[in-house]
Amino acid sequence: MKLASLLRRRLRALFRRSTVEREMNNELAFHFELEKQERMRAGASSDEAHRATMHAFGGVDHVKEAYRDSRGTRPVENFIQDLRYGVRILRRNAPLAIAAILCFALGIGVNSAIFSIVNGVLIRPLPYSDADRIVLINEGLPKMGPGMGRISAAEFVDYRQLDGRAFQATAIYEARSFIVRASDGSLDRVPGAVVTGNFLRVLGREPVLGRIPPTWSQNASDPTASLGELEVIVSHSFWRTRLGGDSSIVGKTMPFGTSSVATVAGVMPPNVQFPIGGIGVTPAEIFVPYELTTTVMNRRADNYGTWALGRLADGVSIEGASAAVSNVATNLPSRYPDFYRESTSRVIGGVSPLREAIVGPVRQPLLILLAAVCLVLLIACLNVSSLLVARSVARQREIAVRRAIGATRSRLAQQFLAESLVLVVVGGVVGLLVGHYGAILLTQLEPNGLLNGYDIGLDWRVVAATAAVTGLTGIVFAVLPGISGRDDLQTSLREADTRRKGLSRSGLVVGEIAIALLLTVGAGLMVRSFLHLREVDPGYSADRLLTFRVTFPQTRYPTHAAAITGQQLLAQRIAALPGVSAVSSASDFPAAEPSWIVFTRDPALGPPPDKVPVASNNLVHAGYFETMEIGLRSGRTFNTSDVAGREPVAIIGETLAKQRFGGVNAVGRRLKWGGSDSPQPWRTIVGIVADVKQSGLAQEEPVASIYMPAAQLDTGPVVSIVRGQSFFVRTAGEPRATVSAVRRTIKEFDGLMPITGLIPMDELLSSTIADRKFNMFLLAVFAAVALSLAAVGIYGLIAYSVAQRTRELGIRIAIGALPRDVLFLVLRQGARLALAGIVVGSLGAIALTRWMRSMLFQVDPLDPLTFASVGLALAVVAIGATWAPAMRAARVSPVTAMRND
Amino acid sequence: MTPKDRGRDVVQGTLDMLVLKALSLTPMHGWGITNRIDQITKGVLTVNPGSLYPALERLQDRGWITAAWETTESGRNAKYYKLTAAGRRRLGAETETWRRMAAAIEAVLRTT
Repeated sequence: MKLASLLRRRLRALFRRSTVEREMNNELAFHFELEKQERMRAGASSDEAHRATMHAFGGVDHVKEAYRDSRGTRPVENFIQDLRYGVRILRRNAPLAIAAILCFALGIGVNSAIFSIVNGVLIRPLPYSDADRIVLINEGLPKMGPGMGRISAAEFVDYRQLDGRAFQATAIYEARSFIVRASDGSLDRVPGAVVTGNFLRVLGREPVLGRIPPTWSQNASDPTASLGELEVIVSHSFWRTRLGGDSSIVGKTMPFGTSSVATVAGVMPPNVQFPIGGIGVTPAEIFVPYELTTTVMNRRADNYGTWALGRLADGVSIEGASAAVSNVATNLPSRYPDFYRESTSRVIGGVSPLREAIVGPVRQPLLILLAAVCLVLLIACLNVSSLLVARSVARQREIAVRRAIGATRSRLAQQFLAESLVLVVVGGVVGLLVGHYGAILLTQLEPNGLLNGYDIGLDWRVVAATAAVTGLTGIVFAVLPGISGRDDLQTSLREADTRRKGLSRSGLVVGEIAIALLLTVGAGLMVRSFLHLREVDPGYSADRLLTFRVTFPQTRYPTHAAAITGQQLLAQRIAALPGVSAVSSASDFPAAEPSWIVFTRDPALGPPPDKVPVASNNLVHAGYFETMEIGLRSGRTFNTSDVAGREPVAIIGETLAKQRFGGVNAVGRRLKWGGSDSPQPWRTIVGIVADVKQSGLAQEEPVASIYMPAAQLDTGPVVSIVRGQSFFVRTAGEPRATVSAVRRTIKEFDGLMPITGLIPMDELLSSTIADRKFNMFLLAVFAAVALSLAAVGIYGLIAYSVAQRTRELGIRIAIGALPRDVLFLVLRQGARLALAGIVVGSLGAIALTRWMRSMLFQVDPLDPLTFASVGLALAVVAIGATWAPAMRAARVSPVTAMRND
Repeated sequence: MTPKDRGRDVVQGTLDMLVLKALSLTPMHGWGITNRIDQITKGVLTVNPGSLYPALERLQDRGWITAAWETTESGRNAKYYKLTAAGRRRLGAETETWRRMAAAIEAVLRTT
């Protein structure tokens, strides 16, 4: 109540200022009048009374000032006045103000834009409840060393015994793709997963529509039981785009597979994805219960590739759960002696946080990008402070005069604060605009369209933090000179203390150049890596090569022979198309993670090696090596007579031949898929081919590889692998031109066959290095921003110092210096700064770039070419930034120089 | 400091009390208050406008007096200040304190 009336009085004083002033004037005039009359009544003349009253008042204006002070709005009024003054000063010195605002805009804007992208793509929080309690159950074979991870699906029945002890719940997850029919009848393949019943319990999330159906609970209590009805849970995006966002969808059926249906039991919340989508990772759209059928159970020690997740029980630590899992793992071989033999006779196990598995691979690039963010921010701050220090030097005289006529330190500090606030606020607003539109622009500029589909919004926390840091720097460096100014008026007036401040400012600019160099070296190394990657020979020719993947399902191709014949017929039809020169197919796709197998070498070659030999294995059709143009080093390639019933054969890559089979002598030797007791037949090696970058271009070390004819893989648990085939179509001309003809041919061949990824191979290859490209792109933008900021910094410093030295330069010219001498004088000053910055920056880069090693490819972190060219580029930028002020200095006329100040 | 032509400046800290006291009988305008204090003290204490008006602002801020524009007997517009209930309580408290202080100082001065 009292406070409210006080506030009302203050606001009135502020916003109805003219009324309040008029009232004050009236009141005082009235007072004056009465006082004067009183004196005249006492006998004084009008003039005497007037004078005496004036005297009593002690000056009307003095009374008014005291009156105004008592309104309690003085600080605010001063502040507004300071702001006005600040705006006026900045307008008078527009280049400096624009430079400072530009620094804010780049610092705040670009930084937060890029960081928002990093944030949107890489750092999103895990959308699971208590995500830190979710762990991955890992398993490994001691001989193969770590890194195998995951478990085989059948082992889940053993690990789930830990439910209620080490874990609240456990579940397994295998990525699959499912065929769904679109409304127009066409078939599509969507990414999905098979999971056991407790999957959502492990994630700690419930469907947003519907619930976890009884069949899932049944699966959770006995994963080996057959479920009958198929009940699925779909992702929110699948529900929205494919099911029309029907809110009464629960319990309805949707077409699923080529001919059947599935009941939709639930819809996931919108933000819940598994796995978390990212570059190269697509989240699952459909979750199907995982029935551990007899077939699965019989592949117990044979098929490690299933993710097993657990939610830790209350009070159980990671170590505790690890011990429990390890205990189960070590007991597996003795429990199932029929399965775990030879290579798998010892199994080790443990758990690791899920977060680690998701964030781990991107941590290094992320930290480097974060460091880049901080460095750019640092440059922006250095720049702002350098500009403001320069300005305060220029104003030392003004400060001295103001102090002399009675301004207190705090009053001056207040005034500088108001001025810097003008800068910070304008800069901040421009920065926000730059950030907002910058984020949009960057998503469009990004070369691969990788950012499409991500929610790239400005992250307000980042904006706030960036703005706070930059703003604070601005304010501190603006206010400091106001309070630190010396009281010694004479010296201040005579000559500004330029040398000391000039030195500290040079230090700031050298720091800027050093940081810009550091960032540019980082970006340069990434660019070099990327160029190397693009020139990598994958071992096959990706030119004019079209690829797609289809599956020959058991429902329509009941036997192995039918699937093989189907492949051959389809290949023939495509080969008959005009513009197609060769067609073949394989189970594995180069540039995706290959299938790893264990194999046994011909015992005649000596005792089995210590470590179980591992190689990538690809089941290919006749003509594969010719179509892919993979070089044959020795022997022969597969042909149409390598079929079931003929001598089992294999082809190996150069590296494997060298490692295990004595090089070229390998032809004629034998190997077998699996351990020595595996039911697979011994295969004769008939050829040696060039190594292929099997797991993508970035693969540094060549891997051991085996190829087997798909037609000969007609028995055993692996028989179904040959049903999924990646086709390769070599075209005579532009492969894109053949896409629609190929699509039509497949439709005519089998209208129910969904096609995935029908695109040119080179496009696909570039997507495998997309993450590196993305990092390179971001770092390059950072480097560009850093360079421009450093250029602004150098320009600002030199331009300012030329302005300061105008008189000196004029004298030099007057006593005979040539314009060229003055030009070089100034350029030398810039060059000295640049050199110091380059040296300091190079030392920093030498110390820091090794942390980038994992992001580099065939480039040494100390790559001399990168260092040299970046140093040169920076020197050019520095000289360029010095050029304009140097030219101005050279044109100084002695007469104007004398007149100057 | 402002030059004075008669009397003495009011004792530091007592101005508020004097103003409240002056207003305790009837609402008055600024000059009325000065005049009244002048009359009561027979010219011993003087309040100059440079101290009076800030004091009036301060007393309003604290809610002890209120101000309103009214017409004087001579038909002119003047700002009249009026004691509030809180102001009256405050005056009582200040008077009490002052008396005790004065008595104490008196006692000190008597003891030689």
